[in-house]
Amino acid sequence: MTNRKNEYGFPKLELAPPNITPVDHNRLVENAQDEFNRISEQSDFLAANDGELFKNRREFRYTHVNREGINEARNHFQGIQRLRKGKYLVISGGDVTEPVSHLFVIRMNTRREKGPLGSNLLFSIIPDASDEVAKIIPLDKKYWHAGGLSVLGDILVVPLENDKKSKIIFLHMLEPENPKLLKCKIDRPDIPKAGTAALAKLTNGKYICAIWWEEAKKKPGGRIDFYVSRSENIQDGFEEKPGGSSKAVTWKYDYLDSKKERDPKYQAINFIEPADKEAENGVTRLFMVGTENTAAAAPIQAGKDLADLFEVLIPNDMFSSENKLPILTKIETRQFFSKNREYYNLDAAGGIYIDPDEGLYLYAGYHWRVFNTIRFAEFRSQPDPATHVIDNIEKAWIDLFEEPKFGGARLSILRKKESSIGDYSKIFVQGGGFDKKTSSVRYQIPPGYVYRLYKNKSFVGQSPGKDFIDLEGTGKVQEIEDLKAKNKNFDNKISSSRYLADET
Amino acid sequence: MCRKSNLTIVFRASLWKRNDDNSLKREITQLITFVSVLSLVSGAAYAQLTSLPVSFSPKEEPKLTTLVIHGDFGFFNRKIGNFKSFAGRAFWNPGRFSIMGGAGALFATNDLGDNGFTVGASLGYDLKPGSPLPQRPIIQIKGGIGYAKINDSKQWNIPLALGFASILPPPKINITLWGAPRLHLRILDEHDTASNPEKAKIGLGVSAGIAITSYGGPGVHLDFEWLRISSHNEFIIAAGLHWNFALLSQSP
Repeated sequence: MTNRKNEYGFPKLELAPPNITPVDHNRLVENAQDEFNRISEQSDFLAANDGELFKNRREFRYTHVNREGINEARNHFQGIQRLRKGKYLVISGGDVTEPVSHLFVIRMNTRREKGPLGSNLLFSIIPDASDEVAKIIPLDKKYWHAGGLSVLGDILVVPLENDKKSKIIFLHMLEPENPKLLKCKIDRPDIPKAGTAALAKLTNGKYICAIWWEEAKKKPGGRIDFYVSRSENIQDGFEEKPGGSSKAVTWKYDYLDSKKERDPKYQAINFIEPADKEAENGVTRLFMVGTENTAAAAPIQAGKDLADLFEVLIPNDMFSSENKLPILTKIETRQFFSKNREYYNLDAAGGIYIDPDEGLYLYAGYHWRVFNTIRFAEFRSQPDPATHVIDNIEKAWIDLFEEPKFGGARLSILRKKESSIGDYSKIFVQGGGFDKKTSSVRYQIPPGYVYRLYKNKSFVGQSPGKDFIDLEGTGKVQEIEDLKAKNKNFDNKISSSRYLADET
Repeated sequence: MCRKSNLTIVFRASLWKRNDDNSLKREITQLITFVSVLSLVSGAAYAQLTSLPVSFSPKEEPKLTTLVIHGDFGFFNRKIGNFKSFAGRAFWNPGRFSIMGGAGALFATNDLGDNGFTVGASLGYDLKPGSPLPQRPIIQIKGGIGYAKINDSKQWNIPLALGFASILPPPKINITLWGAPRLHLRILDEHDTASNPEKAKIGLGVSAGIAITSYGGPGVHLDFEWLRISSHNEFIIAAGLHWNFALLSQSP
């Protein structure tokens, strides 16, 4: 286990070399709205051991304990991003008790580098010891609050605030356990808030950084400050005003033409760069996802976990003499569900991950540590059923749903090596059991493979249609919308399952 | 190698930082002030509370050991004599257990009466402990025993309760809501047995309360207590002050 002594409260980030050129792009998305719509509304739960970071006087930090000198309940996790090195995620947080802002680097050793991580809690509610917080990185003692994160390639954008002023820092995450501080930053000496930030590249090669915050006593209070880099090298920094602070144009939520039914308080915003980024000459088209929970007192109140998709049109010469404003158009709002609210809340941490091959994922974290773990959820992308075909067993997936028409809790079987489940009463699906609960099935299995669902535990029974039903692979997405309609013998009866080739 | 572990009461921020004398003086002053206020308030307390050991003092999570000191005053609907009373209760909550002890003294205010006293204790166990998951209530099973002696009358109270609680942590304060229905056994030993021949009685009761505690430790609470026994109702409405201390292990 990593030696983490004295890491908690003493910021000592190393500076990145001045000549470094970070990877600064994510996949360009062909159809952002389509990919946004294909993010599954159900999630797989994950957790990482918090290791030995929280000892003695820090034992209750980042918990719900609300006691002076021990922990303040407003210490909580704030942002989450999966990194380009796909076994790593970073979670931001703020400890006002110390005070110090943090970045927690999570290494999910039992998960795959590419594609969906899938739940690491299927067979045990306690994560494997190798899925852990690999590193805690204290960021700043003066700015105790690190907010919603965003990743562009290997560049991690971290907004910091301290109730009086705010700033944005940029980290180079090529080595996730040893990030380096890029020379550039955005100073906001007159703005107390910087809730979340996003980074993208304009068509002219410069960087655009957007910072969401809410102005006090204004309704709607949502503001986005847009900053532009001086050059195509991010380490050259961002445009400044004559006094030395960073130069921005501010978009207000009031400017939105339509769909202003809510007064959102986004905890995360992320840019998606589309393939058709050039909207017109000199205007860059981006998409932006903002996530929030609608409850005023989350997580005590349930609220709705929502994600909004916007189209953002940004004039490349935003800082010309007449200060051209970006134009935002809200396209769509989606709600994400869980019967169990103990693993994530979009009032705490949320973040879009642009898979390098295909699909958008949403990751969401919970406010506090629970039983010495940091919990989070993965809303993975569902492939397009009309066109998507697989021929590799490692890309197979089987989703069993608690309710007909793919509702309720969902058991996801993503990896062949985790696909043999002898007793559904001993697994944990979104924190609960799944024995005799399956009512609908959606799956994608390559040709030549068969996944068998058994009525009995331990794969017992030989009679097709009576003891088991087979899901035969065709390479395409297939569905059983209602098990009762197909064979009522199996509705709410499945107790074990495995690939047919596993039978011996 | 010998491993040393100290137990420290944390009642002010950053106890581990208190190398400076001013911080220490401030903390001692606050503690003295609180104890003084507590004494003044509890001087008017109804000591019967300590003989009905049913109060609930939930905590956030098992690893956090707490000590809660209560002082109460209130209304009791069955007059038992002319007394001045002094009473106090303390809850010690290690792990999933909750141990309460309390004692009270009753001083007769006229020459005809005798002085009395009350003592009570209870032991609770969190079947479902506190956790960061707000939709899960804390569930505690609790048994207690209380004894009161007033003049020649002696009374034993033995409640068995199931408590439910939730702790909400808005900024800077904790709000605790709790309720605890119970079975209640009362054993009487009175000098006038002819008028009250039945010694052991079983009743049903329920207690409920709300406590608002600043995240520094001091707080106020309001408790309701109702008991149906021997075909009559007894109730207490008590308000009071408390101080909720966290006991942190300060291992090196």
